[in-house]
Amino acid sequence: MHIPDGYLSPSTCAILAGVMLPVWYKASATVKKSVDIARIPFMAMGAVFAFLVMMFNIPIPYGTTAHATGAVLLSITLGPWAAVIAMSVALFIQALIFGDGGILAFSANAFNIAFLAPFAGYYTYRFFCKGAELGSRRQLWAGGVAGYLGINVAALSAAIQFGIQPILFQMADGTPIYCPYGLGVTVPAMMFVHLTVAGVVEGIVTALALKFITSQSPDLTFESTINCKEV
Amino acid sequence: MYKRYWLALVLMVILSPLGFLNKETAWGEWTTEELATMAGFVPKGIESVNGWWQALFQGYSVGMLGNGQFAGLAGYALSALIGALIVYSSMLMLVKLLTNRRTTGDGWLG
Repeated sequence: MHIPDGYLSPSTCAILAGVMLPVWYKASATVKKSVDIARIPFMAMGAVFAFLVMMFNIPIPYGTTAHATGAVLLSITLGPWAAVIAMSVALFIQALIFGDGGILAFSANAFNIAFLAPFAGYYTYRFFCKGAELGSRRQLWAGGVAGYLGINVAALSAAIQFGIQPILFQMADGTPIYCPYGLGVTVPAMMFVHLTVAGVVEGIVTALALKFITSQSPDLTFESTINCKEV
Repeated sequence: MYKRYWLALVLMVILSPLGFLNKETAWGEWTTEELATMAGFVPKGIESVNGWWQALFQGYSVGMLGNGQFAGLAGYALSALIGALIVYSSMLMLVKLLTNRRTTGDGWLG
């Protein structure tokens, strides 16, 4: 899900923006320093993939929907810092042009989906795939588990951002000003959706895409981010 | 070099209306009407920013196409295409700006 405007207090959004500014700066600096020019179209295509994959709404029991993000796939294939850039661009266009996610809440969505998910997923992947042969089952499983974990980390973060609002921001009579649901509601709700369905879809998407990439582009599989063998 | 990947992306654009078929509101993305029903009231903070930003293709719909199921499906696919193009060109511009360089002779499509 993309957090709309109004659910998070301006101060929450500002704090998350404050966190994201150095993240974006570091991501830009890293990309500037280490990007392979020949790979730039691939990076751009990754952002497009993420944008498109987030349009495929999956039905969840109890009448809601969710979607995969592609964040972990991008972090594995492009490296986490490049994934931060690509995911941020996709999220920004979604918010600006399509109203998917708030403008003020952009920093929160970026923090969850463009920062936490790629990094959580990337290090999970590297942990589980160590030494695995290119295109091997283990590598694909590592990608799947990484995808599952990455999106759930993002979901938990969003649930917390929502859930602390009513305690922190109330009117004089105790009425919530922003998100009216506390942690007791937001965490189970978000985690149910993402642990049961969205995470599985993200994991499958990540694994399948990895399979596609490792079989299609042997040259790409030697990238240090995908390659699990010690070089 | 990237032909297969382009095909995959095109396929995703073509299949995107599948996402339109699942119209249930995602958790946490409720409208003020839905919140009023669910929570019995609309928190002031949410009400105050309601509708402040009018996105060009709000909710992945293309207003020009009219209403109805088919228009919704077509608008969704069109949004996928438009969004894909905007994201792609934005990324190229941004990364080129960052690196202050041009892509290789292969051009913009890799």
